[in-house]
Parts: sequence; C-alpha cells; structure tokens
Amino acid sequence: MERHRITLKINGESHLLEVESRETLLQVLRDRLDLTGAKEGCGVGACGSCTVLIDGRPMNACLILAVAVQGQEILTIEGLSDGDTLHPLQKSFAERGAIQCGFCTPGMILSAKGFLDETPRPNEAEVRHALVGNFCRCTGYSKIVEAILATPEA
Amino acid sequence: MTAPNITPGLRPDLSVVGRSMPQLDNVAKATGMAKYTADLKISGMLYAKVLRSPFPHARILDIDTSKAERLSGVKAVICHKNVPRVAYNSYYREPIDEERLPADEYIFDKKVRYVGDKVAAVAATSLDIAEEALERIEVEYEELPFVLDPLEALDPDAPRIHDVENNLVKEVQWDVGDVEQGFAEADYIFENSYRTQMQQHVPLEPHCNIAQFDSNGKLHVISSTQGTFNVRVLLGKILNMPLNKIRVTRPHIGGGFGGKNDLFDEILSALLSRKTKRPVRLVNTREEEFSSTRVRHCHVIDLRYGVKKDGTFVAREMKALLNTGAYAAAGGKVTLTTGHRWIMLYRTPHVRYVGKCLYCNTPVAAAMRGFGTPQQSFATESMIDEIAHELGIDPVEIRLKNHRRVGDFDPISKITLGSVGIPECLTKGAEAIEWTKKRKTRKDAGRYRRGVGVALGTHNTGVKPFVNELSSAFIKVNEDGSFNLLTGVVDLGQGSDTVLTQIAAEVLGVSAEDISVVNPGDTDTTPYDMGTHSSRQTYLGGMAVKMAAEEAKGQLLDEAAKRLEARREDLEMRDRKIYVKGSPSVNISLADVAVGLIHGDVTHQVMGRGSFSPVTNAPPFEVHFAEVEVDTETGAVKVIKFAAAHDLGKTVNPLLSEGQVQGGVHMGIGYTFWEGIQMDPKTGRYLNVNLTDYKVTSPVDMPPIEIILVESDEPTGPYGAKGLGEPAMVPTAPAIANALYDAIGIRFQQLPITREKVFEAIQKQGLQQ
Repeated sequence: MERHRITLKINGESHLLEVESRETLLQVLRDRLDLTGAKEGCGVGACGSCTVLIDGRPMNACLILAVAVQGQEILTIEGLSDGDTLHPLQKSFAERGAIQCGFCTPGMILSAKGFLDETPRPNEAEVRHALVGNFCRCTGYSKIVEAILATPEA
Repeated sequence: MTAPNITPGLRPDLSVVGRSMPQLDNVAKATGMAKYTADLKISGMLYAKVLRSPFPHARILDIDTSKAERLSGVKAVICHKNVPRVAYNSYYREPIDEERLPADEYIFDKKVRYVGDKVAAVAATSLDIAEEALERIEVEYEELPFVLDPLEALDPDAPRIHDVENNLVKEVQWDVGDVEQGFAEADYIFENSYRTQMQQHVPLEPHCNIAQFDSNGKLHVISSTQGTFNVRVLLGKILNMPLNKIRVTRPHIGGGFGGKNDLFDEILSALLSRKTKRPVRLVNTREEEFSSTRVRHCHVIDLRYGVKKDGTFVAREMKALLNTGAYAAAGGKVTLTTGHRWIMLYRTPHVRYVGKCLYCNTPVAAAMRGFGTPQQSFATESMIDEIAHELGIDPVEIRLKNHRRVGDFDPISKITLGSVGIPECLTKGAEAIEWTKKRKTRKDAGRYRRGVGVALGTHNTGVKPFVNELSSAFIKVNEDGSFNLLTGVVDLGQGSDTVLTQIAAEVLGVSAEDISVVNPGDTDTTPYDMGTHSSRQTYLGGMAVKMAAEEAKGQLLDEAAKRLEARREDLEMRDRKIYVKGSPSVNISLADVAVGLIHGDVTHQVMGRGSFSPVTNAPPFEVHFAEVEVDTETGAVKVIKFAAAHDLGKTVNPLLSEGQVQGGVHMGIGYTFWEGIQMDPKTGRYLNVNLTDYKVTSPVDMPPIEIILVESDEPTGPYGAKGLGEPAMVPTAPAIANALYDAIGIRFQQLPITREKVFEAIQKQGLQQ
C-alpha cells in the first residue's frame, strides 16, 4: 500500500504525517492524532457524527481521504473553544439541555457553526433543514434547534 | 426557553430537586473531551473482529482457522473448538434466572441461527489485519431450512431452531374473572388483529468493549453497557471466575435504549485477552449493530373486547405472539410485561391474556424502550379508539371512564396503585392539542386532511414485584464539607448522574456542585445496582441515594449538635451550614464539622449508606395526542402538532424530563412511519442494515411538542418521583394512527404506516370522511 507524506492543518496547527492512500481523515484524527471528538457512528457518511469543518464547510470525515485535504483548514470540536472560553454554540448547547448522551454533539455543533457562518439569522425551518445530516437518537432535536436559534450569532 | 408546564407543581420549597439544570458533564461532551469506549487506547492493545454467519440457519460441519492464525499480526483466533462450552442466557442476572430464562446461548455454538450469528473471533495488531484474518477462516456450513415469521414458527412442521417443540420459548396465560361470561354480558363485541415491526435501538455509539487482565490475573472490562454488574456476574459464570477478580467499568456511553442491557461480545474480548495476554478492543460496525445486537420484539396481537353500550369495558382478551429471534434472551419477560401492562391499565372484570414467545431465525429481540408496552399499546389503543367511534363516545371520555384509579388493586402484580395522574394527563393534553375544537372541524374537503388522535399508556418503574431488585449508594464527606457519591447506577446519557446528585444535594442542604459522582457503575468500588433499564433509576437509584444522604446527614448533625451544644432535633442543614432552628446566628459550617471529624480529637469518617429494596411498583402513566395532516394525493403524513402529558410522580429536573419526552416522541414517530429491519424472505438476509436505508426521523419530520408534566406525588418514590424514560414512547404510535383515522377514516393495523400503505389504502378504500 502506497504511503504519502502529507501536511494537514488541523485547529490551526500543522501536522506532518505519513499516511496510506486509503486512510480517511476520520482515521487520522482518531487513531494518529488522538482527536477523538469526531466519532464513527456508521462509516458511510449517513449519521454525521464524524462531521468536521473543512475550510468552514461541514463534511463527513469518514468519507474524506486524508491525502485529499492537504492545504485546507480543518476544524474539529477540540479546536472550537478559545482556550478556556467556550464557543457560543458550545455554551448554548451545554446550558439548554441540547446534549444527552453527547455522541452526536461534536458533529452537531460543527454542522451548526458551518451553517450559522453562512446563514447568520436563520428561522427554525432553515435550522432543521441544516441538521438533516446529523443524526441524534436521544433528544428529538427540539433543544438542539432551540440552542442554535438562541446562539448570539443567530 | 419556555417554562415547562408542570401540574400541580409540587413542593416549590425544594431548592435543588424540581429545578431545571443541564447535565453536569455537558461541557465535556460539548468540547469533545468526554471519552467513549472506542476513544480509549491502551498500550499494547489488539483489535478484535468477529466472523458472522451469512446464513439464517445452518450447522457448522467444520471450521479451520489455521490460515487466519498464520497471518502476520494475528495473535489469537477463537471458535467453538477452543472456548469453554457453557450454556447461558445473556440477560441473566441472578440464580432464579436459571429457571426463568432459557440458557440457549454459547460463546460459539456448532450451529448458527440467524444471519449475523457469531462463528469465530480474531485479535490482531490492527483492524485491517483482523478483517483480513476473517476472510481466511474456512467454515463448512450445512444450510438448514429457516423460518422468519412467528406464525410460521409455531407450526409443528416448522424448522426447529432449538431443541424445543413448536419453537415455543414460553407461554403465559393469565385469567381474571371469566372472560366468556364477560363476553356474554357485553352489549357489543369487537375483534381485530395487529402487527408490529422489528425496530432497532440505533444508539449512535455502537456496542464496544475493551478487556484486559492484570498481572494478578484480574480481568478488567470496559464496556458501553447499561448494566456493569450484570456483565460481571455473567463473565464470572462463563469463565468460572470469582466476582472479586472481575471489574467492569464504563466511560461515557452513547445511548442504549435497552439494547445494551445484555452480555455481548465482552466474553469474546475477555477470552482473546486471556489468550494473548494483551488488552483487546472490539467495536461493532453499524451493520453488526443492526443484525447482531438486539432488536424490538415483533408482536402479532389478536384482540377481542366486550363493552357495554355506554363504553364500559366488560371483557378483554388478548392473544399475543412474540418473535424473540434466534435466542431467548429476555423474551420470556417481554411476554409477561406485554400482558401485565395491558391488564393493569384499565378496570375490567373479565380478562384473558395468552402470550407466546417464539424463536425465529432473525436477530435476537430483547429489551427495547418500553419492553413490549409500545407494541401492545399500538394494538389496544387503536382498538379502544375503534370502539369509541362505533359507540359515538369521545375517545378521551371512554378512557376517563375505564382507567384504573388510585387505590385500585392490580390482580397480576398484586400491587395497589399509589398514584394515578391519568385524568390530568387526559384533560390537560386535550386542552393543549385543542381536542374538542379540532374534532369538530369538517374533514370532507380538499387534498390535505387533518385529524387528531389520542392514546393512553403505562409501563413500570423498576421491575418489582416480578423480579426482586436492589439499588444502593454510598456518600462520603470530604474534609472541606464537599461530598463524593458512589453509586452503581449507570448514566447512558439520560442524566441519572445529575438527577441523583440533585437528590443528594437536596437532603444535604448543599448545591449540586458540592457533590461529585465518582465512577458510577464501577463494580469494584460502587455498591450493587441492577442496571439502567425499566425506567428505574430516578426511583430506585434515587431512593438509595436519598437514604445514603440522610444517613450522612444524621452523622453530621450528631457532630454539629456536640459542637453547638444543641439538641440534634433543633438543627437544620442548608447552604452548606448547620443552623439551630429559630436562631440562625448559631451555626457551624459543614467544612468545620467535616475537618473536625477527620482531624480532630475524636475522628470519624462520615459515610452514608443507602440500600433500597422496593416493596411495590409505581407505574407511570402517559397520554399522547397527535394532530396529523395527510396529503391524500401522495399518502404523505405529517405530524403537525403533538402534546405529551406524563404522570411521572414528580419531576426532579424538568429540563431533563422534557428531554426524555422529546426523545421518546422522536423514536415513537419513527416507530409509527418508517423504522424497521427488512429481510429478504428467500435468504433471511437484511435489506436495510445501514443508516441510509433504515430510516430514522429527521429534524424536519418532528412536530412542535407541548409537554405537560403531571405530578401525582407517588408516596413510595423520592420526593414523589417515578419513571419516565420508556413511557416517553409508549402511546406515540397509536395516537398518530388514531389521528390518521380521524383525518381520512382509514384504520391501519400494522406498523410501520408507510406512505405507500397510506396511498394504497386511500386508492383502494376511498376516503371515508
């Protein structure tokens, strides 16, 4: 299996890595870099629990080959807060009960951030549409939608 | 945030219990710091994969693992040839289960009984090598005829899946009064048949576990499990190891919903770890989650109801067939609860229940949110709706007429009902959905038709008296007056850590931040708990914690009494201080008392112990109302409004209670319209075991849900509380099905009610309203 030396820019830091052609970004994050916030829920890009932001766009890391995202800005949940200061979305989710088991939460928050950065003052229907790629089995989405609408940028 | 609708809103004097607060570990979850089992790496860890059967029913004539063993990086391969042959039931908890639950499972058997059944397992230095190794295991199968439907399984000529006649795992029959006499006395008799589908829990986190042995031969298993003590006792049984040499712990868990109650592949990891002398991690794929963990029982239910002209129930009869899948697991118990909850909910002098639990060559069915009650409710609440319509009685009224009251005796469990908030649930829910107004609206015009429906349900809080149970807790005081809470209760994400902390904080007069829950469920360091299921933890875990906190409080008051030279009866604890009642300037801080006890002249470790053995059950009650809009040209149904009224005794945390209801309704909507594992009848293989083809409810499909929390003040529960988690999806499907009938005059007697079925029914029957 061919190996490649690549540089990935993750949460503002550069990582020099040697990866196989077929390694996904999710595998690199979780297995090589210990960034376990992105989760594997299905392996086929259906559940969204592996969502990360690539140049600001929410994408399923399980469907992206690591070699394909050199030179792009990758943001994971671990890079979202500013030191000890939570991102307003993280604060909103945590305070409003938009989190139960928490497994969908990193992907959900990043999808929400990617969406709000594009659509700063959405209505409820737009928020719901934006979340169809992020599956949650615990909350029924009600408090997730509330938390997103209540976030100051919204 | 809108304020939750709580009625009557008991005990406003309480400081912590009854207050909304987010779960204590939300920040960890929101920052990605919370660790789940598959996030954990241990030095030297191997990766395990399981070889699974491609056939629904087959004998294993031979299995050759030598090629797999020779693959570089493979450290161990196990199959039926080199593991202990011990029969067990994966739902086993206690010695009496030897009689109650058939021990029909082996680590690996010489036969496979469903597509996905385990055949062998490999541990290797990487996941890729483990997967490659599976391909090199050679298995010679002799395919056998198979059966996928419980009605066929019952046939004497059906293939025998285990060594039991007619594939019958268990038959339950209960009689109250004389049902034939009751039917003779009835003015009208109604009969109908119903079917429900194979829903799956779909926890977002797949099952996973890590097993390792330490240098003293002690086994430590880390598992995404709802019941650490259950995993421990079964591992001990199968491996023939004493319980003090087995430790089971769990990190954060990504949902369970009943699917993580049983012993799963922890036994495989443990055996691989023992063989290789290295830690072994095993993580399911999503496909394995669907096929090879647990599913909900499919029910086939025949009902016969006899009623008087005025709607009074005189006689009820249910015949239920349950598909428990390839192994019995908890099937016998689900057969019991299907009948019991149905008998318990409504007053009726004559009742008969016959429940049969059957093997099929399908995924193993066991506990799933509601444990038989959602299936039963779909059938019975649809039936009651039909009766109401035929007799010209309001569906809310007919339930108000017939439901059980406080003080009623349940003939099956022999308990007396201590709290019944049904009338409030029915009337307040009806108000919230605008029941009367919407039922009067003309329906016979236009492409889009709307309707409203209602359904009543119940369930249980814990499993007493059918099963004995225990929950226990310790609380210890730290020298600064803060507390550590040690409880066996596992938090799956529903928030038990937070709720139990609130209960302890209320007793001790401190805030939730002053109490830390430490490693809950760690079988080495926390006292026994039976597992997080049966909506039992607020009630049972809560009572154990309350008892422990009260004992700790007593010891602190005793010491404070000495220090303040007061009588213990004259003291009260609040705001981290102990005060003389009426003279608040005479006080001592908890910190002072605590440090004095740890470092003073006469020392004592304050330790509160709580051990709760329930004597009764406190069933919760719930009413769901749905408003639907049907596009009669396409069959598409949208739930446009929903009201859920839940009698939960007392809400300890309204924010978390709402979360349970919202999540339950979400799962219930999926159950109604689109969830269910589908199989190819020719091969027994699965058609939709992935998250694209198994449809779950999207955020766009969710209606606004008005939630009413009814506090009926259960006398035996902590601060009046009883269960909520499972009730949250019990009456959802029938409420929606009944709303559909109201909208288009067509009854659907099988779940799921897909768009195709609605469209075809409209085409075939025409709109009836």
